[in-house]
Amino acid sequence: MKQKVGLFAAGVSAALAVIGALSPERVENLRLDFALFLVRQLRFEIGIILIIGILIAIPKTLKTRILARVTRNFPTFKGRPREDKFVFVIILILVLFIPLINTPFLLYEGLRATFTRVSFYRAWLYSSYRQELFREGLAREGAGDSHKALYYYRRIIQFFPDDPRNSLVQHKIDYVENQIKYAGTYVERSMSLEKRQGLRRQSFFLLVEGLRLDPTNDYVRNEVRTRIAKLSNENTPLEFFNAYKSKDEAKAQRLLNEWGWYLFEDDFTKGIGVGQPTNNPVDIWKEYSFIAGLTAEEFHSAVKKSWELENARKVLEWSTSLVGPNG
Amino acid sequence: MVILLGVIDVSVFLLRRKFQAINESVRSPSYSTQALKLPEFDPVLDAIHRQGLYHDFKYSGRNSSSAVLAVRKKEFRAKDLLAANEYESLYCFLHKMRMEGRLEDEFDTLKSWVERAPAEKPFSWWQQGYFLSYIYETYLEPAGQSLKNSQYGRARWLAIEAAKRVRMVNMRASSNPELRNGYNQVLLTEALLWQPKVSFGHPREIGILFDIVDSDFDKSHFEELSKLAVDPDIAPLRSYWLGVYEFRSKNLPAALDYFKAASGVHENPKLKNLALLMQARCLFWIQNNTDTNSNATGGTVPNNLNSAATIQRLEELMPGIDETSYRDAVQYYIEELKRSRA
Repeated sequence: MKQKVGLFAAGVSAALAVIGALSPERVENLRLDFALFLVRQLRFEIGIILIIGILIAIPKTLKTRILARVTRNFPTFKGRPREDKFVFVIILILVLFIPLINTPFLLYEGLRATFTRVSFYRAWLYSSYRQELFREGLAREGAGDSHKALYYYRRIIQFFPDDPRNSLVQHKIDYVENQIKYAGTYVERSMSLEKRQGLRRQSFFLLVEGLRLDPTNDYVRNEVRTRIAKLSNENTPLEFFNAYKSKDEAKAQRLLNEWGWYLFEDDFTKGIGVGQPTNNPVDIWKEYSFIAGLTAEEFHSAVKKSWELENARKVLEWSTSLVGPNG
Repeated sequence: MVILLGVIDVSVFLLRRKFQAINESVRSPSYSTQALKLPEFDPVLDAIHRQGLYHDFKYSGRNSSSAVLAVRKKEFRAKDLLAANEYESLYCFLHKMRMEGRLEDEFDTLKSWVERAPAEKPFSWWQQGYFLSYIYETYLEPAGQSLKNSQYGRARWLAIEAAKRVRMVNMRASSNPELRNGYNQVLLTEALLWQPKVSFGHPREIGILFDIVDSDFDKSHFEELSKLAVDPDIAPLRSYWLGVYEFRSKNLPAALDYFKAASGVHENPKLKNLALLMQARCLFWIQNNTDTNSNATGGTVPNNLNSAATIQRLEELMPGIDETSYRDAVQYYIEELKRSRA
């Protein structure tokens, strides 16, 4: 048993010597260096854990034997002369003199160690909290909830104003703020355009872009949903094309007046009176002669593609998936 | 001892978990590629989003870039805005203008930067390269994608905007072939997309012609181009494109014929102007080559009669050209030929 204890003590002291000797300059491995840093920082905790572990690990019989040996030689003053007691007190004072002198220093060292511990754990905790906030912010941003992400990023700046890594967080804040700001601007512009001209490609694209940049905005999502439903008009292009091919002027004229904005871009309808029924009828065969060479499918697909409805639907689905089915 | 080891093991495990979580959060793709997570939507808005949103509009650096400082000295519409903030680069400011839909301000700022006073440093070739790549990324590339999306009016508008900006700097005389090609590409795209109705009626053909311009007249497209149906709307464009192939393979008389055929179009003034300019170039180089050959074979005097005829033909081309820079180029050819005759 004595050998074992001796070996253990020798092992611990050797390990401490090695750890003390391995300074960061000597260690090439960053991970090992960090492990050593950790051991150095946590040496008191490791010591306490070792003592508690040893106390628990020692067999009970051994414990009672050690206790018995310590208490067996404890001096008793039963039946001793008074002088002996006096001498004992003198010896005790002499023996305890050096420790008593050292006690304030030990207390000071102990307090320093305690404060070091506290600041270390506080820094660690703060750092973890900062990381946690950043991670939460990233998760919210990834989930499309820019407002929540902004809240977390701003908390970091608020709690850790002097952190040198804050430029990174500030960049994220600027990015998300830009996103929200431009989402609002685009939606506003889209609404104003639509108010003036009615639903057009440009206003529709701006509205969907507003949703894409701020996908959790319920109002914009509903607006986009309404527009997509209105634009999911499968028959009109084919009807117009067939009317054009079969020279059905009245029908073609009517469709053009009602759905000219849907079938063609503004460039194709500008200045030829589309949308102003009967006042200024368009010479359809002349103005739209370019569609004569197309097939019905080609015309239909061109109209559909020009609205980018597939992509708009994907944006809407993506936005809905971020807020859940009830959003 | 076993308990002690257990305690150490558990604490090491917890620590490892903690560090792993921190590492993962830093390496998380959501951090570095946030923009990519957004679904793709519209090419024009995508381009604006891609370039604009990543710019630090609240630039907290010490000073603005030298270009911003240079532009601040001038008078233009958005001067107050540029003076109010620090910008990392002028392109950052331009992207901001585009994101806010202030295209006239963007145009004006670009113009005030590009059109320098003679006393200032010249617009160097690498600055021209940046300028060209800005135009390519913000206008020309989205124009091509709009074409694929059957947005012919929009594609035309983008091509016109690109050409309007690229005309600020005359790169035709640049010694850098890439700049010359980029410049010509913008102007050709404008001519190609000038008539949206033609694009709507012939999407496949216009797509092929666009790809040829985009690939800088790569020979792999030549066969495809030759097979294009000779439709009256497409024929002038096809002739011009074939003319460029011939011109590049130094078959100048054949190229001249193609350009003549292309210049007959009246609905597309941009193509007509370009075709007339190319005719002038062909005539000049045919004459120049003849002169050089006759000099090489011992002839002491160039063929003055032919030269006079060429000058006359060049002068006949002049009234049809509307663009000032093209007229200047033709004027230069005439003067060169006159000088060689003298």
